[in-house]
Amino acid sequence: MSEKTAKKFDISKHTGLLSSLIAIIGGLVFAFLVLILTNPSKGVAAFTTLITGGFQLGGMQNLGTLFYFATPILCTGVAMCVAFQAGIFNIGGPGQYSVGALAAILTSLYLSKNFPGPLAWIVPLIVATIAGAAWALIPGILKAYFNVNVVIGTIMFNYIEMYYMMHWINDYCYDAMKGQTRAVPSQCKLPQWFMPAITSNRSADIGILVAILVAILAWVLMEKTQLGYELKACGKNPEASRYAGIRSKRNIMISILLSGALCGLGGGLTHLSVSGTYITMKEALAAEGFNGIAVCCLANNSPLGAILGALFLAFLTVGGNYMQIYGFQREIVSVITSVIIYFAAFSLFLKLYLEKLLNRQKKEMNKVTGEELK
Amino acid sequence: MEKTENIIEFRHITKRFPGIIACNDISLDIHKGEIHALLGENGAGKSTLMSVLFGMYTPEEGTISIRGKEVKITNPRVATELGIGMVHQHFKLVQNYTVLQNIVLGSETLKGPFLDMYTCRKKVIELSQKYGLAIDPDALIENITVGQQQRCEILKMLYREAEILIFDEPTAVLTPQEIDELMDIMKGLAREGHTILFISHKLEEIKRVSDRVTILRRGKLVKTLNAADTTTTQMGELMVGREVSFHVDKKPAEPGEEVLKVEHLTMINDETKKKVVNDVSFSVRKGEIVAIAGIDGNGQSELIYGLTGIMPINEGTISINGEDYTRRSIREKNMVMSHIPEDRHKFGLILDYPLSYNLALKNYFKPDFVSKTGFLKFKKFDSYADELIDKFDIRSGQGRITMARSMSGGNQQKAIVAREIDQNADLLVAVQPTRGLDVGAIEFIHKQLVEQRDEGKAVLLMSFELDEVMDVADRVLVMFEGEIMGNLDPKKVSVEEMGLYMAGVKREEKQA
Repeated sequence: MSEKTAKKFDISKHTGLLSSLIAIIGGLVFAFLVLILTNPSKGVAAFTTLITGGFQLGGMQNLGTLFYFATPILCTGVAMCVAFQAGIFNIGGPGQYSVGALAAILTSLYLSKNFPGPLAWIVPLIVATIAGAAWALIPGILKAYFNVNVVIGTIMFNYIEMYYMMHWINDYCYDAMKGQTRAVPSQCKLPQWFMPAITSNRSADIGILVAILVAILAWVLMEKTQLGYELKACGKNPEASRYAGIRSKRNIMISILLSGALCGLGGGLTHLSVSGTYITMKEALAAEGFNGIAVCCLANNSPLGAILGALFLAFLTVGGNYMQIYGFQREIVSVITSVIIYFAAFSLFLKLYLEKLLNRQKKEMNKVTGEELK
Repeated sequence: MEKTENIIEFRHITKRFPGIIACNDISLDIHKGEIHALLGENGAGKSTLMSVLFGMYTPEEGTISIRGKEVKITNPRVATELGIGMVHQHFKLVQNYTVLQNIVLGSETLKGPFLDMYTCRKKVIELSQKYGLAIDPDALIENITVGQQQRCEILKMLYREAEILIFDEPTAVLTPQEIDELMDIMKGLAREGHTILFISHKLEEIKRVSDRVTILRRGKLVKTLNAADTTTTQMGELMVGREVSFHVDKKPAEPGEEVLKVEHLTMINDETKKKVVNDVSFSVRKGEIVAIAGIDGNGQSELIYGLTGIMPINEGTISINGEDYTRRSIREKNMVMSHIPEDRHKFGLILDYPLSYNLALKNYFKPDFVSKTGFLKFKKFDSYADELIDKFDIRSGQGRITMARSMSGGNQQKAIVAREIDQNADLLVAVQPTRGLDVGAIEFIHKQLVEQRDEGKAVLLMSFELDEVMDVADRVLVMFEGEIMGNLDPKKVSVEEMGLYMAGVKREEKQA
């Protein structure tokens, strides 16, 4: 046991990463058990497919699918990181995400004729971002100026969005034949650049690049700038922040609007993607919004960590799509992700426990070496 | 002496924290039935040693024997079973439970599956009468005074039949009268055969109440003395490791022009509609230290909150250097006013920020610390932190990158004092700046306050410690029920007379 800690690599400095890894491994072990117990004969094969992300079956073109799934949850994940670090528990991801998506669809359907060249996709994206922020505006005001619990405020807005959405879709962009939103015009789709080449997937686009860029920018904002210093200060100790003259109301507004904007952007990127997707008329909240919380938990609130978290969850989703081959329901992936999220929720606890454990070991080591020295 | 039976024996206790050895090879015997004081500066290891005894920390080395038997105290539950009880510095009571509920919480008497509150109540009342711990069992914790809360904590220990009682700085939060009562209670408990371990920095109290005193310094046991055979001066020297002066050396004040002028300030509590600050007017001039004295809860804290902008004021004006600051933002006030806040954890520090971030809390937005584009200049953060750490001797495990949370209370306070003094504002508002600190740190902070005054700053000091007020201030305003009762010269007024003003018995004619 002590030999392990004697390694040069100091684990105690990376307990955050380690706890996320443990969360992931715990989730996977559980997944394995579920698969084996449901169907012992095919469990191993299914599990292999799952943890290889289906790459051995689907080949490299799955990389494009992976990026497609990762894009929205990376955006919402980063959105949650920014909000949580500022102490704002934004649960309004689904609403902000869907409003962004609808804004992008409507803008491209009605206004795209007016925009030449790349503006045709840039403008809808910007509108999506603004729409996401706008959807967070009222819960933000309620929190900042009337001290209404932000969880309640944002959750309520998810439901307002869900029902309004049907009304809006029905009135403005309903394709009655297919029972879903009308297709986005092709000139409004995201450009593809070199993405099809590197992913061997014809419909890969730059969505993931935008999302990664946004994650990096968010990290820089939180870690390197004055605004980030203030936002985190408000998150860690609102009273001391007030004492220091930081305007907490303004910061609540900034963090929740930023968070909403990122969710909206996620919606925009997904619905302008080359592979294309639609909003159907059903009473459901967008899962991408809630999965952002999972990404954020896995990433320990770090926007950079969110990149890995989002890619990992997307990886599982891709693998999960093959589960039907083995006679499993593809929902099994949702079960597995849920378990991982459960474990991730424990990751703080795990982190503290690991730190304690490592400290103890270190001390025992010190003791041993100390006695040797004597 | 009969008291020679050892109830606790510490043998070679060593406890390390990252970067610090909190207890270094401590061996100590505690006699049955004595009041044993542990004295030491902040970070000397007294609290750590007691936490080891109470099972909150496990020592790396060493053994503890209780009643002659070696024991492993792995958690507070084990300690409780061994008859050890602890009154923490910060009480651990449920605010909206009654006194009785709090006392029995966790060890309720049951009748079948139901609570047997009648038996509980009888036992609590018996204990309360036996030891003179007057309480109202049905009062809610949130409605009773700090002193009564403390009695509730003591009863909690006695209810669990604790024989060894640990008091962690029990007097830090009490008024002088309450301290007297507590001392009597402690003596009474010792007479009944309880053993009391008493952590304190206050030399007078130790001399008054304890039988023996053990002095710790930087994790090491310096000496154990009979309290009766020693003097406060000797204890102070052993504790700090050098001579200390209890008296603040200062020249007579040379007040200059007015810096702070408060007129007819009134603040009304939203819930009770009571005027917590009632028509208060005063001024502070350059080169003087004005103290606000009074018993806790007479509007002093609210007055400071109103002044610094943390709470809204209802009526009146505040002007600084002749300019109206009544409605200015906290940030604008911060530019002309430094503020050492009363509650260092709530207001003074962001505990999960590193020391360097905390030291920059009032500066991070200034051009030295942030570029025009909004990026923080971390080099400046680091050099500024190192400068203050050096200048004010702030000790921590890992220097500027230490998380504020992991620093000792005294060093947290030093960090705040360093930051606020370095603001170089015309007005320094210091609220309880030495609360919970040891003699060495108190001396240091008092010196800093006087130095600020001598540099021509206006200093407003709010303190519940009468000694501090009498020693440091040039002028004292006594508050009672939200009003200023007197504007006094500490050199001309005795402590007893001050007490009368504090109790609202005496009042000066309306001062200018």
